[in-house]
Amino acid sequence: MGFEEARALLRKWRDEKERRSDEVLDVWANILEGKAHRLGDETWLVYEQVFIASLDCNQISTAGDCLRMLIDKFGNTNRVMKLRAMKDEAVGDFEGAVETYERILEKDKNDSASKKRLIAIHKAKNNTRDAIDELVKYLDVFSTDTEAWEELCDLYLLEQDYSKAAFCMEELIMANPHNHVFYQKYAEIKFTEGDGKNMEIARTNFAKAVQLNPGNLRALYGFLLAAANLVSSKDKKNNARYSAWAGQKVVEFYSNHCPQKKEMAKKVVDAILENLKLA
Amino acid sequence: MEELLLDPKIRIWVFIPILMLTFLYGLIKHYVTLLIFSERTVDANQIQNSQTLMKSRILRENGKYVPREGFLRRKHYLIDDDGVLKKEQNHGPAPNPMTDPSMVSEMMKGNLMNMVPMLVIGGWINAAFSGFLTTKVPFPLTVRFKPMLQRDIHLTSLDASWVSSTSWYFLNFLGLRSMYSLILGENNSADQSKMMQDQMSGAAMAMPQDPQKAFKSEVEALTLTNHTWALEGVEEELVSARGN
Repeated sequence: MGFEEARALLRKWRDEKERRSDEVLDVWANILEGKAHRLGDETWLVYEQVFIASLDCNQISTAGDCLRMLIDKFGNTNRVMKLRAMKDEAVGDFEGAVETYERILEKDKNDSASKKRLIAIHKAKNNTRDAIDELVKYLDVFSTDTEAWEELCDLYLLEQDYSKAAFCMEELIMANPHNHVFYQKYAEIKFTEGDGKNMEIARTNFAKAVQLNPGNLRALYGFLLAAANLVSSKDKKNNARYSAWAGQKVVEFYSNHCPQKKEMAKKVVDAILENLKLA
Repeated sequence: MEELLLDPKIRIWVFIPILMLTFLYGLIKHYVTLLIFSERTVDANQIQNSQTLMKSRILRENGKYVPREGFLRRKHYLIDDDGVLKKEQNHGPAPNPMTDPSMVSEMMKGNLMNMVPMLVIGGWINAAFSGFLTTKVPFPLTVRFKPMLQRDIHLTSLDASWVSSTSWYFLNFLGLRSMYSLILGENNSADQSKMMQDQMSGAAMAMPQDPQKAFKSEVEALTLTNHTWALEGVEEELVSARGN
């Protein structure tokens, strides 16, 4: 891969917010490192990107080099200070990191990035409850921050607080009503919560996810299971029909994409549908 | 439309200098604005207000994708008597733009940077480059435009398409926007229209000037919104869709 291609690739990942830390470091070490001065205006963005990637891969020395370049160029701006604190976090110096973030917050009371990093430190120290409390306070002010809602949902799931996790997913669905993954995750949470209304909601949301993306096998499987679970309750006919359809689709999927596992899939589906007949 | 031949010296000494002048003025304005304008600091309350408004709007638009219970819970949270929107509504009148000191200085700086230099330069051009035609606009104009565009030329039979230097200056001033975006990047301060857009958008950070009115209209709109679950019957759709 040439210099220009590498640079375009990094830019693409930056724009699409893809982390890909391994690959970023690969590209950096093999192609761009010696030639950083040719990057022009993007130089500093690339340094930041490589910095974060090297923290992810525990290459602290590379991170240190990038950080030094950024400090030389920009001094002690909020953004550089945040990177410095992230490096402290990576080596485990949480007190130092907290101090830096609080210093940033003194200068700019509403710097959302620092607030989020402080919450991340709680999470790193396994203080899930504290992280949740702080994140809820954060979301009180910044109520449309999608990334924060996703994080809060995951934290509630760690605590097994399913109803609150479902609430977070609802926020996410409303912010992105055409993202099949959100519907699927919401459906999975509802499925876990239990039977009755929740299972119906789960079934509907799995169906929506499949409608949005027919290739979402997990949602398809969820649809099958949810419908199967509902056969014993009211609306027997429809649910039986749904589960039959879903079972057939699952087997079709395997025969199209993974024929060697098709037999296994067929056995699983048949077992589920057998149970229906007994119910 | 008769063809008039203008002295080529006009081109060198008037046409191009005005172009350069306007362009340089825009550049200088951009950089000076960067130096002068303080960071617009917003406090937590403003952020919360604008985010809450956005949340209410999202609820109205996309609430139908979540189950009824979720929608109703959020609706009541926002518009019940002790709900968030109602509370903010009763917060008291918005800070009057005239009296609030920080806003006044912002407005003054904005006016200073934009209007005054434009008038000064426009006046100077009018004085310095008067008495001759500068250019011709490529489309025909009516007679009404004459006093505006041919300020200093008193020829009654002359086509209105021939304009004086002042109007060339104004044309430049308004038209060089795309050049600025090319050279200075998207977010430049020489861009007049962006400035006007900013005042209307009330984006993620800044609060619209009249929070009370905004909240009131949100409350009304949300009260009227009903919930029809968009996912109703999706299983049927899925199972009986074409080819399934």
